[in-house]
Amino acid sequence: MYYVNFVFIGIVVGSVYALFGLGLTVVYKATRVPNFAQGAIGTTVAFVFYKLWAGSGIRLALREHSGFYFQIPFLGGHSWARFSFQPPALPAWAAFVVAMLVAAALGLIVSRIMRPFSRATTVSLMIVSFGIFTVLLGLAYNTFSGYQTQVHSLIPIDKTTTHTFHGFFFNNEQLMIIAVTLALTVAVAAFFRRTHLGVAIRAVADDRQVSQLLGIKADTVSNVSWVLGSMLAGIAGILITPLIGLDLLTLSNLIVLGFVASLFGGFRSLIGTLGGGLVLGVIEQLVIASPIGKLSGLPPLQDAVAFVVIVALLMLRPKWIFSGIRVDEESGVGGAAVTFGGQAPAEDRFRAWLRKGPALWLILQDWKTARWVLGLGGMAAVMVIPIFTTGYWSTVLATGIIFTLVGLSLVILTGWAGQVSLAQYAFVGVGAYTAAILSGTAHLPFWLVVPLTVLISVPFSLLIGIPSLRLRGFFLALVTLAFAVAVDTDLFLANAVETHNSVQWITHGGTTHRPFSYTSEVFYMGLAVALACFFVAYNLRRSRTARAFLALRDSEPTAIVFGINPTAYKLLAFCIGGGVAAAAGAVFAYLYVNMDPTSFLFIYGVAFIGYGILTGIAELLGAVLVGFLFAVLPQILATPVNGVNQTIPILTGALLVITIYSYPSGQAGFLKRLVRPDDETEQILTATEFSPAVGGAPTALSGNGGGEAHAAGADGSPGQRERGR
Amino acid sequence: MPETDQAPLLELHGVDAGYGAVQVLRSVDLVVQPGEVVALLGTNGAGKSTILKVVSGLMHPWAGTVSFGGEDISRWQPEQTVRAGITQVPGGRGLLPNLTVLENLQMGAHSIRRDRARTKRSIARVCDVFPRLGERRKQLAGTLSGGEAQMLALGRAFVLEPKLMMIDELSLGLAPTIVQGLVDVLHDMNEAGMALLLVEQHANLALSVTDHAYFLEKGQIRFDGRSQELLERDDLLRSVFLAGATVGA
Repeated sequence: MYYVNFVFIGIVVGSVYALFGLGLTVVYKATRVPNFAQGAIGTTVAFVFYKLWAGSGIRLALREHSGFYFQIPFLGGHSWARFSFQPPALPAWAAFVVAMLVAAALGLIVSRIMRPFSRATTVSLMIVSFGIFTVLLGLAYNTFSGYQTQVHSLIPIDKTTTHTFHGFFFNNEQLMIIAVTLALTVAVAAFFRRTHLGVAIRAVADDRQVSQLLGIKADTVSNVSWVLGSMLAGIAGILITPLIGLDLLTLSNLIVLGFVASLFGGFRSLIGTLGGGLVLGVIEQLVIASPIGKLSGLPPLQDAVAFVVIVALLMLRPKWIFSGIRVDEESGVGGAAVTFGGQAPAEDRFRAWLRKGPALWLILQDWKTARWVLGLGGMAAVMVIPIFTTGYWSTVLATGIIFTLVGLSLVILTGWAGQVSLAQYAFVGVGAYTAAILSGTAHLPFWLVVPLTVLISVPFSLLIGIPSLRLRGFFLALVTLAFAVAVDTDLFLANAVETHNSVQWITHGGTTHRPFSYTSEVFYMGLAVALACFFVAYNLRRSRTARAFLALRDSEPTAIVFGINPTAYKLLAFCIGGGVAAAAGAVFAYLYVNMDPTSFLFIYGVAFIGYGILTGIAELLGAVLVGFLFAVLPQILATPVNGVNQTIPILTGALLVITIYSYPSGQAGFLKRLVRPDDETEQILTATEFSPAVGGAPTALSGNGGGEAHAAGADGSPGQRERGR
Repeated sequence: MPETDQAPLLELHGVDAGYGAVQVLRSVDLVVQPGEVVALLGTNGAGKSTILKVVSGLMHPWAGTVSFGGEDISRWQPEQTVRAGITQVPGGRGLLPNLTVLENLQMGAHSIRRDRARTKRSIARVCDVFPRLGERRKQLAGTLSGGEAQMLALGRAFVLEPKLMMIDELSLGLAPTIVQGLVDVLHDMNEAGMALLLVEQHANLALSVTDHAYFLEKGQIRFDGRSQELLERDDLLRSVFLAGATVGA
């Protein structure tokens, strides 16, 4: 009976995973979008429901924070830019109706945003959905306040609703969750099989253009599936909130589990998704029930289980899942990304606008000189500031260094080697805890801690590096995301790790002998680490190794034909990327001395991909911009809202969507293009992973192809030379 | 331009079109009379499929007009042109591979989906024409053989009993006997009053089954005339296709 209870709870929890997965599958089936924003949509809908529902208990728990707020972003939280609104308390059904309307509205909005990307590769679509996720979560923080709270169950749990049967416990709420999931799965499956609209959705998923030729309005059909997917996410969010509490991040986390469920169904079969959710829930509960789960000091292991399951599924690739999707050539998983032209490249329009010459551009006409002046001047300023200021600004600048290093790790791993990793910030955490153990517990000095930290990060890098040998693009990203979530919620919370959370100060001795404050010391030490990393990276870029990375990124088969060993180079890229991020983690540990596991939330890793793309993910300069724009600038503009400054996330997410729209390859970088709009080379480095959304035909025809040969000549990498012809 | 007293069914007048900044079609004039079978010939990349896209509303012309039954349809969306009676057999079969044969046919009847009786009747008629489709109605379209797939594509475009059917590469990758079978079916459909616009690279086949032919080269109509006459003047054909071939090589 002991295990039966756990299995039952597993089925309940798994049902909710399945519901999340169902929404993901519906959206993916119809639009090929791996919708990372799904969790945020579900969360938002759940917040709306519980804030409106009179019986949620939230009004008592949160008092004045129980309502809705809106603060116009970017205005620094002045009182005249803030509105609050205490909604009427509604009965459950009315709250549900409103929540579903909100879900539908969100679905329509996302559908509209996604419309221009209908021909993009899966990876580009994924990144756009990150952008939407970031904006949505930022707005949700803005509107709901970040306070966590418990809510009452949908069916009050008391003697009449709880049942015992020979030591087997269950209650009506659990039964309801299972029943709702089963009913919705069957209903949605029947909708796709039996109704004309459902078949039309599948038709558009199969081939958008052919469906249009048959008279199907593809946009309308996409809208329907987005609305359906959002509603399913909303229902899942509403159902699970009483079990895990009302919290923006915890709920958004569930997306990973939803993806695992979807993966079981091959992102295609709804019944498979249901089964996947249930299997995942049951495995997770059995692990918790087993002797492993009883070990003291372990956190709940569901995310670690999800990581293992996701890697196992993707590595073993059971036929029943992968008959329909091609993991290897995943750029256009499912539907072929047909390259029928149509839209004028947004890039041309943007460039034409730039040429007309806004003031900024005129100033930067002589950018070649200006960038040296700006760069050196900025560098000098950055170096000097910590000497003259107190801890605050040196902390900010040291954070800038950490961000820059994470940016650098992405430049090498994603920009050069083409491996999309959402886990780079998790490596900062790995590095930070390693440094804490080496310094705080083993009492090693700083100059030993940093290289050792880098070394110790290697096995962690291999953990996601090895799956990368068989996976690309979106699926690889999924594995790295699962890794990041597992590390963030399980590894760092494990007692064995968490107790080692502080480093020794870099220098010993009393404060009287210090020329600078402690944080300034960390800043200069960090600067030294960063300069070392950049020195290595700068030279790496000119080496045969980096050319092999680029070749692998652009065309793996071609690279192999030219004698490049993909296994060795991919693993090397992961190790270098992980090592740089771990070095950043060591600096982090010294900077904050006492760490808190929530410093390394998986969403930072997601954010960093966005940062990288905004600043130019294939450029060393881009990494520096990451540090400046996302660590330093926000502090200059900062006015935290509800404890978290949401301006930057919202802005970043929106810019991310625009960037992918304008530069589908994701490698040019919005900001870089702003200052060097005529630089053709970057846009040409269009990897298969990040290949153009608008389709090869228009790009190739619009005369940019000429630059391709130029880039190939400059790099001399076989892959690119091949492409250049 | 053939002069007839009837009003043309489809008329393209001075059509320019292209992708992004690249112009593909240059001042294309083309006429299909009601019940006529017209061939559109040209080498790879000449712009044949682009003309079909412009007619069906997937693309809109930069300049010039497209009219159908006397009505200007230049700015119409695909769903409007389908409803007006223009259907297309897309190049490369263009089936919906993960839908069953029956579902493919149902999607072909999308514009009349509210009239269930008519949908049923139309699909039953297509299955009469192509009994093989009826036998395989539950099978996924992606698993059909090449000839069956082309039958399905034709059948699906025929569900609506269009006034004009446009076919992109009927013969591509099919055995001659199968092509002959399809041509016979098309002949019957044409007898019943349906006009046909046949895009082909296979010039001899196209000229032998059509009334009128247009030759497209680099987005421009090079010449046009009665198919029968063109078939006898193989010097003309050779000049087009060989010239195209040398440029392409």
